[in-house]
Amino acid sequence: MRILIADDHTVVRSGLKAILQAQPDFELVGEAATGEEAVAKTRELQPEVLLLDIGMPGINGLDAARIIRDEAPQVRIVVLTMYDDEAYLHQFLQIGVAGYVLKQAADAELVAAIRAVQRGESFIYPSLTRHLLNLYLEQARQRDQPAHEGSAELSPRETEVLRLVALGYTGQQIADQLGISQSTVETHRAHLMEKLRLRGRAQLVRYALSKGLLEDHGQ
Amino acid sequence: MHRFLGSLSLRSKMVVAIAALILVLGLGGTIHARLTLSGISNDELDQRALALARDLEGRSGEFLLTNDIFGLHRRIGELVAANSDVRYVVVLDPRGSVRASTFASTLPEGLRQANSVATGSPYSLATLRTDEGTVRDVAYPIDSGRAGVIRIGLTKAPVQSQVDQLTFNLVGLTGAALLAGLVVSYFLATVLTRPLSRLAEAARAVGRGESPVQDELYGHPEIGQVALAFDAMTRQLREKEAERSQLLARVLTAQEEERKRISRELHDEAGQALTSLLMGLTRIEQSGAGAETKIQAAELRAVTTEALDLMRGMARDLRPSTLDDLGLVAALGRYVADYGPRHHLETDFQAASMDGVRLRPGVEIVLYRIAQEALTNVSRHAGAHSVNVLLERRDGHAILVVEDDGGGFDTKRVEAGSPGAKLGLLGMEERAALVGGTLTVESRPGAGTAVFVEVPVGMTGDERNANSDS
Repeated sequence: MRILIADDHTVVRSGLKAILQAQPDFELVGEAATGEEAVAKTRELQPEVLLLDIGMPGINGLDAARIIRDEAPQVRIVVLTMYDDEAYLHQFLQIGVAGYVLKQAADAELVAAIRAVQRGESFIYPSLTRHLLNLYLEQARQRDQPAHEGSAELSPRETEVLRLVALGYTGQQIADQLGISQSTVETHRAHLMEKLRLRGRAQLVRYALSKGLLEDHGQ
Repeated sequence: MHRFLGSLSLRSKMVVAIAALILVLGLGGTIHARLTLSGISNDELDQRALALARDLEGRSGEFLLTNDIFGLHRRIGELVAANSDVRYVVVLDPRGSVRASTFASTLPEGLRQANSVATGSPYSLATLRTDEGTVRDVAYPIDSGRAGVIRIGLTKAPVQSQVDQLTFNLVGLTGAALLAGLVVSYFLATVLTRPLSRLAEAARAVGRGESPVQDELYGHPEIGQVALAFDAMTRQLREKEAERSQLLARVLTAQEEERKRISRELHDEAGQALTSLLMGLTRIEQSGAGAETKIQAAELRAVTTEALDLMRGMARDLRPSTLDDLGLVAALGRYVADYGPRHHLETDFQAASMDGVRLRPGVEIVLYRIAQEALTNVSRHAGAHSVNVLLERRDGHAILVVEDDGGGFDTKRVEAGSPGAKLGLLGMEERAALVGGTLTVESRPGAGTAVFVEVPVGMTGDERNANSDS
């Protein structure tokens, strides 16, 4: 198993080396300290697995992963990071990395991750899988939502108020645009929220998005 | 009185002053003319009465001596006919009996006693108030009193009516002058005060933050000076304001830079060191060391993990790396997700029309900080159960909305009210203004609070990168 390490910290690299060398079937083929170096060494050494840090000088882990995915899609990338933000995880999953491991647990888990990706599986650090599950559930909920809420009948005025509230206009701006008083706007909003059984502005925006009411505005 | 005058406008003061002046002059002149004229007329009347009496005395002596009463009557008749203002003529003998008179029968009561000549006096004049008006009576002795006394009464009515006519004319003239004076002074005052009004309007415009139009004022001799001074003041205020906001931008930029640097260093340097420590401790645990050493290593690893978590939290609070690496949606979403459980609030975050969009770094950090501040306010003051955070793009603007379902407040009262709340809002407003944005707060007591931020983002390469930090 040919492995390349990309991390800008020497101490971390030596720690990782020690962990990997404890596994007899792992072969450390090289080390990189920057994003550029990671790309170049991957190109040159053609490792099976790349352990990739996110925060590096030069191009960061995200950019390096994108380039390597395009240049050498057969290389299995395992992100090894201190960031437990789901946003990073999403980004890397979209790029198509095989594993995501937190440095804080870089011992047995790292080895397990490398073995898993070697088998062609994916490995996501357990505490992060909760985020993925939530994301999945949220998407499922949004898919189902229109079905049972879409039937509510809104008056044209209410639909207009819904659209403007969802677009983030202030009560005063909506009142000015529609030529009605601010309290009338609030009444319309309360009615339509009740009709659609929505709670809060964020749900209202999601509903408007699902109905395509906000199109032609983002540019 | 002083206060009343002070409350009047300059224009009213001028009009009132001119009206008062005309009134005083007109009425004073009228009274003076009236007094003078009636004095002159009275003198004239006396002279005529005396002349008539003297004339009659010259002729009547002879009639009396010859006892020609008829001739006397004829003479009196001629006199009355020639002088329309002669009311009566009476000729008395030295004993006081009537020798001739214009009265049909007896003399009116009291007339005989009303005037008499003291011995030695050439004549006597008296003013009588009768039913037919004021009469000037002259008693003139005939032949030094030896032949009797002539009494002639001249009515003052024509004189009086002349004086009255003059008075009437003068009062009328004064009235006309007053009217003309009012009109002229009103227009004059308007012309004089118009530049002042315009200056005041310009001052109000500056207060509203608009630029005043006042070029035409410069031509005015006195007001022009004021306008120039005012203009200089406006310019200085503007410069100061520009300097202030530049300074603020620089301070905030420096602060963000510093936070970013510390956050990175905490995360990268200290964080990586602790991570290496963790790995080392793990190796010790897995090595062939003694049981006691392994237990100690495990304990140390727990402490190190805790320290690492703490430090990562601090780094994130200072400046989340997601904001720079992944953008506002990711960073704000994470912040809101962490914020909810920390403050026991339901949170909901939604971004719209933001897919794959990176705003200018300056705008991203400003919106992130305003959202942080607004959420901090919610957890501190709102008494809310849930808070919604919205981020979207609409017609070239980035829109941030932070809305809670808390107690709300009277926005008018905060404007003038507690300095703390006002400062908080002001701080958010200032940040928004740094990137050309506006901040609106809508709230009513009992109906929650919504903070709206609208920042123009347009295309890339915007000049107003005041808070840029990349």
